[in-house]
Amino acid sequence: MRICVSDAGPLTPQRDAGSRATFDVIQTLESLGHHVDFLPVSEVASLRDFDLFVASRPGPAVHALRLPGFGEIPNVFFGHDLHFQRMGSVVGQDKTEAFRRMELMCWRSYGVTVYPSSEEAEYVNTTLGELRAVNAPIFVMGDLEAGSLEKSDEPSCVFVGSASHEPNQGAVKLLVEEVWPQVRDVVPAQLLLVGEWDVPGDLAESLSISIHSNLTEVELNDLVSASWLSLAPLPFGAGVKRKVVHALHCGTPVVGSRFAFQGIEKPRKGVWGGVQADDPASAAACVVELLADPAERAAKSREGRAWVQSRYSPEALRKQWLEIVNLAHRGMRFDS
Amino acid sequence: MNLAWRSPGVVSDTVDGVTIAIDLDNGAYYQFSADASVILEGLPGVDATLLASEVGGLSVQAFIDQLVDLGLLEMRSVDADPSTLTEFVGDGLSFQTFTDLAHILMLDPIHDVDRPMGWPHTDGAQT
Repeated sequence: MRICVSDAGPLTPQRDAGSRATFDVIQTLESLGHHVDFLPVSEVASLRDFDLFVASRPGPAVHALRLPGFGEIPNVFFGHDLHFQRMGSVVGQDKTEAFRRMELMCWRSYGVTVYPSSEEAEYVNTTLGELRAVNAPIFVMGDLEAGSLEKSDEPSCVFVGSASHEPNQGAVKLLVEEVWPQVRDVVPAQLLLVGEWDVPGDLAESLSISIHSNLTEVELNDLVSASWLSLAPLPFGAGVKRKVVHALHCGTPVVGSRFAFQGIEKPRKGVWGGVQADDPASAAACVVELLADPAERAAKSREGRAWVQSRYSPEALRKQWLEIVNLAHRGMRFDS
Repeated sequence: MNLAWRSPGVVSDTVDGVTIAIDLDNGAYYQFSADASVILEGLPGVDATLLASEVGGLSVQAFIDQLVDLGLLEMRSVDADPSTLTEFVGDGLSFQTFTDLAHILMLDPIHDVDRPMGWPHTDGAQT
């Protein structure tokens, strides 16, 4: 099958989680034996040469509606997350509602809509009053290609995130100004910030904070694997977070906000492989407690790795996208 | 010839009695009042009686002309079966527009950002 995957521009999987997610989908579709052409939506002349169209993110999905051949072949909207849910605090109510209606147009226009979490898919299906959306893992967590999963000798915590992503900016501000000083009052641990962060030298020194930029994938795997905990005090956001899934895959328990754990909640209570803490004081208390409890860290490490393996392995992604392709060709007419 | 959304430059949708339209050529987003949506949902084509009427004191023809001038509507050869619904809720013929929303829409929300401001603030974006 010849598949066209389209996004706003060239993919930069080394730089951002969204591109990486699309890249993972392309590789998965290729591993299923399909021929995949990736094209920025502005460079797609016609969809008539393809057997399936996958639009990544709402912007390209809306623009694709006018492409010749749209609607003539099966199509899939790969939403990444409910964008309007994370716009509210930034652009105001009117524009958020406008964005929601644009995403609604995508859900209605595409045969199949894909989101990372079952909650997001359920929101779409409830809104539409029919089954049009499914959830699929947004990331592939394969071989870590790391030397080992050995933890560092000294207690250390890591935060991973692009400095240009607003929830990450808020998270680092919370970490540096509120959470980490409370942790350091009790435990002489190190905080490793991955990304192009700028922390004043004297503050970094007094709080034992180090910055790690431009890491290769293997270096990132090693660094997260060696850390005792991963911290993700995201103040807002939507969707499953790659940083959290990756940390769990590396066997590193996560202390994070409810936004960090979206899609990673246990059915009744709690989260897989970590602890949810929604304010700086409780986050700091959780970090201190876990740093002092190797047995609990090991248990959460095992739990997190098992959960990721069951959901985010290459095999799991292949299985889900095989079903998505079939659903698209059947016109998403499924009964349950 | 019938009145229709300009093709292929404009995409539209109507949900819960509210019509939206996006001009993909200039990035403008339009969200129409319920009364306007009653008329626009019937496109292509507008019933002649409806076209000659007034809604909330505004001529339907004048409203349509405004949308043509904005480049949202055009006359073209297309089959029409226009709605003859004339049940208006009374909010008049109007629309809300955002000229920067499609700019945000086309951004890569992950890395096309202004670092100090975060997403979705970018050069030229009036959010």
